[in-house]
Amino acid sequence: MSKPGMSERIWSDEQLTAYLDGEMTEAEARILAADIEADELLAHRFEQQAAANTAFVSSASEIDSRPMPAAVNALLASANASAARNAGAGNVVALKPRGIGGWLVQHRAAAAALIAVAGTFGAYQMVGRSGATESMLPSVGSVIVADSALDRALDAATSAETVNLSNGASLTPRLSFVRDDGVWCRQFDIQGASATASVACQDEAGWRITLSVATHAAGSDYQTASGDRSAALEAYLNASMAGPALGAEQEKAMIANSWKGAAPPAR
Amino acid sequence: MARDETGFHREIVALAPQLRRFAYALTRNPADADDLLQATLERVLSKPAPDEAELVKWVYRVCRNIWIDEMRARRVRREAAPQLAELPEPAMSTEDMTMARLELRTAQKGIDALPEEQRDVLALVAIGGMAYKDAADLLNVPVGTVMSRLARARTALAAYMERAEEGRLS
Repeated sequence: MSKPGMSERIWSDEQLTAYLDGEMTEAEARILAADIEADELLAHRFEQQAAANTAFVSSASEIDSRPMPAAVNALLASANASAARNAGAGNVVALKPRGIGGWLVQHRAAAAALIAVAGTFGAYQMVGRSGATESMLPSVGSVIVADSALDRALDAATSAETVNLSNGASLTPRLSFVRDDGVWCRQFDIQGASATASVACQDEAGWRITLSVATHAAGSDYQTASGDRSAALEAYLNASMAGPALGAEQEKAMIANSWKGAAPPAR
Repeated sequence: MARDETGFHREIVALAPQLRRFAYALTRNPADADDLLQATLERVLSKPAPDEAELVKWVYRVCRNIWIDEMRARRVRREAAPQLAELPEPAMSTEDMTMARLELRTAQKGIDALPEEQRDVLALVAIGGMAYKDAADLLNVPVGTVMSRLARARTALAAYMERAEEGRLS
């Protein structure tokens, strides 16, 4: 039904939800995106759904602020050891990284970490007036949008260099490494009203998020909470890294080479 | 064909934080969520690795089945204490953080008010990242039902948060 000044189509809540989840056909999504751009009421409906979704995800992420139970840490450590054992038993020479634990302790001590809460920043998605979602940090398994601020930062920023994104958030790569299947990965932190430590690895589609954990509150609970974080992150790094992290010169060379090919030898 | 154990174990480790959020979304109680996470990890790590394409779906299915079949009834009988009190408070207390916590508390109440079937599907799609078809298979409902439950959940939660916001401002 046509209404003056509004889009000519009626969009249901189900269609808006399918658009939000990327479950529409490309052609239909293009039409809806154009209507959201043109119709303030429709944009408001879409933004409400997106905000509710973000609130739900943020609410679930609140458990990240609670230390992982010892029994779960033990299970993860056992799985990690098993992965390392299996990798070592094959033809791959698994050179486990040295000093990662120490690096993490230093990093944690330096970080003015914030508890992961929802709100002004939200969890991972910011929704613009246009209705297009600008992904601050896609969920695990997702590919970072090509040429987005996040993508550019991972392509070009050196470790320990802080890059401002948007909405007051910033990204700091912490280390770069090659995974034991030969894929380039970067571990990086995002600081905003919420904070995460993540790993993204290169595949044919670009940088894909492979791990993301919340960073925890500074203060008296910090030591305990950060132990939780290091369990998941360290277990992943220990199980994944084929060798030590890249040195500064090697990393610069990989940035110059757009993360293609093999790393130059360490000096 | 089953995949190699190295990749399987690495992916389970990587999946753990996300699986924990999923468990929390299902149980709405951090202690139950951690019990559920532990039971799920024990179960999946004791089984042979599934096909790569099936791994994530399989893990979420195991998690949800343990919750529904083995833990939920126990929890209902126990009448868990308010869950949010058990979570640590933030060490920072700027105005923005206070507002963010207030918004989060409002959202928690709105999420608690959702019917369980709507929360379930939202957890599978929004946290588990499942496609509608996979969520429909897991829940044994048509894809259209997944879509309508998601739409109703998000619309109801948005309306709840908007009413709370208006209440705060008035």
